[in-house]
Amino acid sequence: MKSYFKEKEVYYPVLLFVVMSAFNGTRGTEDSLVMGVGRNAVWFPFVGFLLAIMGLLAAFAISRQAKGDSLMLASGRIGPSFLTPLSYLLYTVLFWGGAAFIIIGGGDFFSRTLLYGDQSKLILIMIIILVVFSFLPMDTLGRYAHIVLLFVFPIFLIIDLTKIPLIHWSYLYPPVSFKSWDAIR
Amino acid sequence: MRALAEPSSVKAIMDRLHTIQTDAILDTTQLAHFLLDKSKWFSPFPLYQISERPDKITSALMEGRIAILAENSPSAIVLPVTMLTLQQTPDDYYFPSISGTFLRLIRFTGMVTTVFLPALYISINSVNQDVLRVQFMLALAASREGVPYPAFVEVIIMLSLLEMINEATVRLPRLIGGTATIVGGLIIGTAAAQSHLISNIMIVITATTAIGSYTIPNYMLGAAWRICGYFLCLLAIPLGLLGMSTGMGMILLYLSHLKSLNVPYLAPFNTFYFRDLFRDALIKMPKTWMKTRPKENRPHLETSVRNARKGGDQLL
Repeated sequence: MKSYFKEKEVYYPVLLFVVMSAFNGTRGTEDSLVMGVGRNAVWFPFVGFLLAIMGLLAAFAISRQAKGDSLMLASGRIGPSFLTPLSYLLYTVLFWGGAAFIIIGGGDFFSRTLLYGDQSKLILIMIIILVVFSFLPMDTLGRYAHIVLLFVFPIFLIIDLTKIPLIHWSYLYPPVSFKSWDAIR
Repeated sequence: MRALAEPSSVKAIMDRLHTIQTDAILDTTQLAHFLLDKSKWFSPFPLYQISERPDKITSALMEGRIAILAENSPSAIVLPVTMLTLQQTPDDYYFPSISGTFLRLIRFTGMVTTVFLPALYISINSVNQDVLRVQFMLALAASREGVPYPAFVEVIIMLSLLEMINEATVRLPRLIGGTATIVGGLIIGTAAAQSHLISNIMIVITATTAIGSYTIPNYMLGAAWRICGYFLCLLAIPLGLLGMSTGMGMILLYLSHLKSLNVPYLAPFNTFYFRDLFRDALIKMPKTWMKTRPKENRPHLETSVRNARKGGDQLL
């Protein structure tokens, strides 16, 4: 991976993305999916995950062709120059959305799984933490994400996996419910 | 030897040594303060290691770190250091790898106990009573019966007492230091519990915290972790377990930010040198498996062999 990117500002967000996806894979998403899509919701995370991986591979491929430059820099070099600031702006929006997502997911996890307190207090504290994070350089955040992935994420994963015996596997049948497709349309 | 340490780090230290202007340096420890960046002057975590042991210094040199000696001082400064190197003892390498790993894990457990246990007691007693089983909570409540103030006051009293005993033991001559500890620990503790100034369970927690802190091999690192423990206690008073999680996140963030001579303080846990992570981090593999030097000290060097099966020419 190191040979693909010269910019560490891009190298570390990939790590952050992996940590955020790992944290939110089981939290927060399922309720909103079930409410929005219905029975077929169970398949949607896989589709989302595949799309994310494809996006990541496409970004890698473009970076490799652009000799280590990020997608943002490469877009400005290949196309019109305004594409670089525009794509950085889009990148910011993406991370802004990611931050909102992790705040809600984290608040949900702490308040409902660990029974730590009410969600509004948690969301407020997490926003303060994110502000502190934003003052620190990207290297620090990347290293922090690395530590979290090694030592904290396994704890979250184990807590989530304890729910497996409670799963009613029979609820997955039929694998695709054609009635529920109406909800999407 | 010249190829082992990172040349830019050696140059940075030489430059810093040449810029020192002071009337006297009484010990290498004082010299170490001059070598730190301005942003790290207030860091509670030690960013250098002081040692008098020749084997420790030689080992550090062979791992690509830098040692500085000063006149009139028996100890040497070692730079750069990581959290892991400060947690290690020479015994880890002299014992069989399984015993070494076991001792290393025990020390980490002791460190975690020192940092978390007092704050956990405050959280469970004051804020998150519903986290544990009812039977355990009833036992905890029965133990605190008759204690007139909240759990955090108990913790502050006992931890302050512990710090005083620690300091007294260090300062007193070795002959009466042990007696002072026994007087402080046993007599005051038992009397305080009997007079309901503190609960019995608090004595258990204080003793466990103290023992945990003694397992940390580096005194400066032990003091830093104790300060972190107080920080967590402060956050646990209003927010309970959430405060503890937030505080630990902040401490981890700070540690992720720290660097000692451009080496991340939490290396190799937050670097991409997986070989180091599985050879000589929490787990210590046999010496024959540690074929290369730690990558964190010389990241730009492709390979640096330290155990070659045949031929001395492969070294370096």
